[in-house]
Amino acid sequence: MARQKENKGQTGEQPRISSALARILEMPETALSDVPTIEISGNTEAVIDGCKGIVEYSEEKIRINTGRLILCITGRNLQLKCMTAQSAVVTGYLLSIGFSV
Amino acid sequence: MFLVRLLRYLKGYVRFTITGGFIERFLNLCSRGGVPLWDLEHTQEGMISSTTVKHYPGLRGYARRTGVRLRVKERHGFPFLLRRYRKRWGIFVGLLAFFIFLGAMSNFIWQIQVVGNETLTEEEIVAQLEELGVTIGANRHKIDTRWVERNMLLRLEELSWIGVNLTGSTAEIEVKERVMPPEKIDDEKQPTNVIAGESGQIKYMEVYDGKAVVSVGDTVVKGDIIVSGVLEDSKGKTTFKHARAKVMAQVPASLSVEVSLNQTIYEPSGKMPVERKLCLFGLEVPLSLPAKTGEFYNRYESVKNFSVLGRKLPVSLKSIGYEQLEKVEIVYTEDQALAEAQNQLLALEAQSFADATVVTKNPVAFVEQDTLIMKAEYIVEKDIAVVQEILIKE
Repeated sequence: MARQKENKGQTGEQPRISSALARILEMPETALSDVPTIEISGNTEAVIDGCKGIVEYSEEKIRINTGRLILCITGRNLQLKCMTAQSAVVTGYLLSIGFSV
Repeated sequence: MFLVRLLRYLKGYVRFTITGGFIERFLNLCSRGGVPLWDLEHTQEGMISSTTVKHYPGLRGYARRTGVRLRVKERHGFPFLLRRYRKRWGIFVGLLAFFIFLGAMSNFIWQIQVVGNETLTEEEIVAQLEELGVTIGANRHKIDTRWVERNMLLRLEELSWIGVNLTGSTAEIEVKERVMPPEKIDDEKQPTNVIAGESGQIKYMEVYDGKAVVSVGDTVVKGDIIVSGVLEDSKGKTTFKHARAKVMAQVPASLSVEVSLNQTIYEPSGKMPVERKLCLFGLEVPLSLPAKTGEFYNRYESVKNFSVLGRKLPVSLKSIGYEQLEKVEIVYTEDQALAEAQNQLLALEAQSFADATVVTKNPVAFVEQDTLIMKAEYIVEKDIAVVQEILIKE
């Protein structure tokens, strides 16, 4: 049982209070929690709101820290078009978007 | 996006290279420190990025902490442009002079637009406005629009309303024309007689009201009563009428023309020097030397106005052409003078007998002191009825 709980915590699937509250109040989860918002335009641009920092940056792969998760974007000629304290704009030829803890 | 680019340009930005050390960490420190970075590009040595001029000095601390080296590659934006030209006083003086000129010129009227006129022409309205001081080049602050409006209404009775709007350097004149009352028809109650306007013999009469005192075939002298408006019945009672009638009568008339046998005429020589002037803000700047006009000439003037996107500019090109004339002495033979006299007589007839029909015509021509005189006696048929008011003492 204890192992199960530990595993759950490790995978990050444990529901947070803010998420639960948002669900009860029938509000968007992004309004109450700090989950990132990702807006993708076709396969050429992705706007990540709630960016906490860059973990890895190359033309083929960009990994972005979003707090609870690491967002991994792979593709060709990837470029950080703009970067501020809260958001980042990634442009290029996006091939995949994945998440890891 | 254009607005963002414009703001960046106005604030000024630098493009710099980032080499060595921990570049990702450097980027994170920048984002946490609120330093905006954009257009990040990979290079073989490291990266190239852009940031504002204001934030660039603050990056040195982050660079030291992360071991990266920064080097400015390009400088863009207005502050750098200003710095580059700071020693060129001519540009700043020119700019200042331009704005002073612009400010000074905006105090004057450079365009007059008239809208809403239907029967009145723009030239008529502008001519009256000019007399009241609203002209091209007038100081707009010295124009009392209310006073101009009041005076324009007094000067042009066709106007029912006028609005003088001074917008920048444009005087927009909005007018509303009066719907003029129809012409007053004769007061039918006013007692009148119909009298003869000319002496002649009556050929035809149509009496609409009143009592005819003459009949067809009678001869009347100018001023004779033809139709009386005073009627008396069998009991001696007098009634007054508004007499009206159409009275066609044959009346004598005469016309004469004179043609001198020795005439001086002025013929165009074929030369027409043109003088051009540039009308700029009400001033006339000559573009050519004064034309040699000679002793006799006809003067023609044309003005070409320039406009941009339908807006008339205060610039126009005035062309004045002087058609040179040559003095030519002509000696007519009697036949030539007679033909000329006949032509002149026909033209005079058409003018004099526009509302009459010529019944007979007896022209006589004779030469007297180098002048051919042609006299013609006519009998013409025309309406000689003239309505005359009867004055009654109450």
